[in-house]
Amino acid sequence: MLAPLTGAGASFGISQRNGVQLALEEINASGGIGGRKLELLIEDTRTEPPVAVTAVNKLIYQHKVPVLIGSAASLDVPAYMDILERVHIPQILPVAVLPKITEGKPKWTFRSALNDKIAATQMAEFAYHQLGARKIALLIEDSAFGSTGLVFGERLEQLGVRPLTIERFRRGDVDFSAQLLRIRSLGATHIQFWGYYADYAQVARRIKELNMSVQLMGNQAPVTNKTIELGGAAVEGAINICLFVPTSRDPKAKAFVEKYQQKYGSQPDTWAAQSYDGMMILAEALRRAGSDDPKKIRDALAATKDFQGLTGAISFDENGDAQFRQPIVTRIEGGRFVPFEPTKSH
Amino acid sequence: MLLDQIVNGAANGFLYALLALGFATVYQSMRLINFAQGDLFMVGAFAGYVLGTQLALPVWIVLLVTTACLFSLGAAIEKLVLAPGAKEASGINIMIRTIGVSVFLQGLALIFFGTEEYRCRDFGGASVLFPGTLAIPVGKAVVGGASLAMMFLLGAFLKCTHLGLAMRAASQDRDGAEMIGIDVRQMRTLAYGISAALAGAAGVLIGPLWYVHHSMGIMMGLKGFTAAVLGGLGSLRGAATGGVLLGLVENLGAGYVSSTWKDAVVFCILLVTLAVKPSGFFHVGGRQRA
Repeated sequence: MLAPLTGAGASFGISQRNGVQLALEEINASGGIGGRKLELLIEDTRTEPPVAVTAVNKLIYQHKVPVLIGSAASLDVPAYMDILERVHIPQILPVAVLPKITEGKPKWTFRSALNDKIAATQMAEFAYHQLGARKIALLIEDSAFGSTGLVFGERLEQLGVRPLTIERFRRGDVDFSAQLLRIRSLGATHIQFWGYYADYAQVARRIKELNMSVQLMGNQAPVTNKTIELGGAAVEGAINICLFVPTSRDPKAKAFVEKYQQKYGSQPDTWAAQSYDGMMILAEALRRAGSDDPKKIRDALAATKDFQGLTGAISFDENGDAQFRQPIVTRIEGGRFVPFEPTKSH
Repeated sequence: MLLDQIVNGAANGFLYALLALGFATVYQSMRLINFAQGDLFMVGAFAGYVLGTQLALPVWIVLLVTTACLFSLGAAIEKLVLAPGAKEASGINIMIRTIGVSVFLQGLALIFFGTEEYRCRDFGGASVLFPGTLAIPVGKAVVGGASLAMMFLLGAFLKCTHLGLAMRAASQDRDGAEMIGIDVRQMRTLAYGISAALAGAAGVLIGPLWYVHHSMGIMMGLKGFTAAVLGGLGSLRGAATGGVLLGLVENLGAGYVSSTWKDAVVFCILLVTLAVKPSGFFHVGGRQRA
């Protein structure tokens, strides 16, 4: 497995490792696959694409792994995925959301995470239909990652609403007041953010400080406990999209949250749940493949049909993206991510 | 919106000004561009986090202690890293040593704090001064006030104390100063210490407005440097003015033109200044001013 355990993506990498390890323990405790215990080798990508490439080569050539769980850091993946296409080793991506990853219809990559493009489309529809938002400003990170936020704007225009403005920022910007004051002067009632959690929390704090009455909405990446830690009271009421919330009432989810808390002493986030699912999908594929042969494992992964996971029913389409998702729109309440309930606000 | 943009731009500008003052102080005394300025700022921010948030000390004590610690750290860096063999070494040699210091400080922060972001306790929460008309967030007012106070203190020190006068003398005419018995080497240590203290103060002040993390000094260092060049590395007043101006241009540019070009505008200013008026727009005459 590749995971960004240190560097900018560490909070995702650690959730990824925790989720996968929990699933692995359960699989091995119940006898492994075909009587054989699974072994997990973890390489840290340090959230640096060149390091990820080195790590992939090490896993493939030195340890001869037949299958990979890919990095949670979206930008790591395009750097190394061509190697997998070349040497015919499959990978499953439980966390990385970057649309570009599946744009080239890779044969050996399967993403059980939610493609960020779909997240953007869904958020636009949610804002338009559920929130009745008509005056929306976009605030997006000036990068390959943030530009998926433009898909939100495109979908909104299809629905007949033009975003009031598209403001950009650099990751780790000192101050969002310039952008936010402009958004305020345009009379926006909703801000759709696309970027990382630290900036998201910072934007929330600035909104409060500038005394703006706007609804903050965000992408998937800020759905982590770090957002709440950094944003405190300022992020209360903020709306995001994800695949899993720990307050879910589903019994399988409840059991997962309990086991996770027992083992790690913290609440699992959507990324941990997705990683748990990723490992379980892989285990099921290994069972069906009945072999160490990468080609057979790949075909078994591709044939995944309606896998019932914590994050919904999962099948892969011809691009390697998971289908049939019912993403959850979540709202921060009392320092926790809870499912959005339309009656509670607006 | 114009007033708000000005208020917020000026608050950022004051922070750039503190960094720019550090660049100018070191440049005047040592003819050196100090690449570690941004990282001393980062160290100050972490000190502010530990003292102000973890130990929950009052702001003014945090500011005082951090400034004193950073002064000592700066002086130690000058004595141990920059001074040895400095007389024979070229300017580039010393400049590269400051890059070494920069990388070292970032590495140290990584070891102790990792790559995570830390949140500092707020100065004034979401409360504002003059609600209705100007609505200046308290946090920003503290930044502006404390920065101005630091600038006046520095000015008073340089103009009204023997030590300050000696430092100016040493920066204007090294040989002459040595002849009248000023220890020029001590003055260089003093200058580097002061510049570190200014960076540290800026770090403490920005903590609650931002997050503290190990690489926060990189962009800030560049902005402080740009401000110093804009105003003139040879003039402290110029450097401070350059900082405030840069903050204003940045915010007004982002507010009225496009936020996409926010940082690009800043560095265009740097390039234009270097091409048109390399001594800075506020550098007065040929005479060195303090």
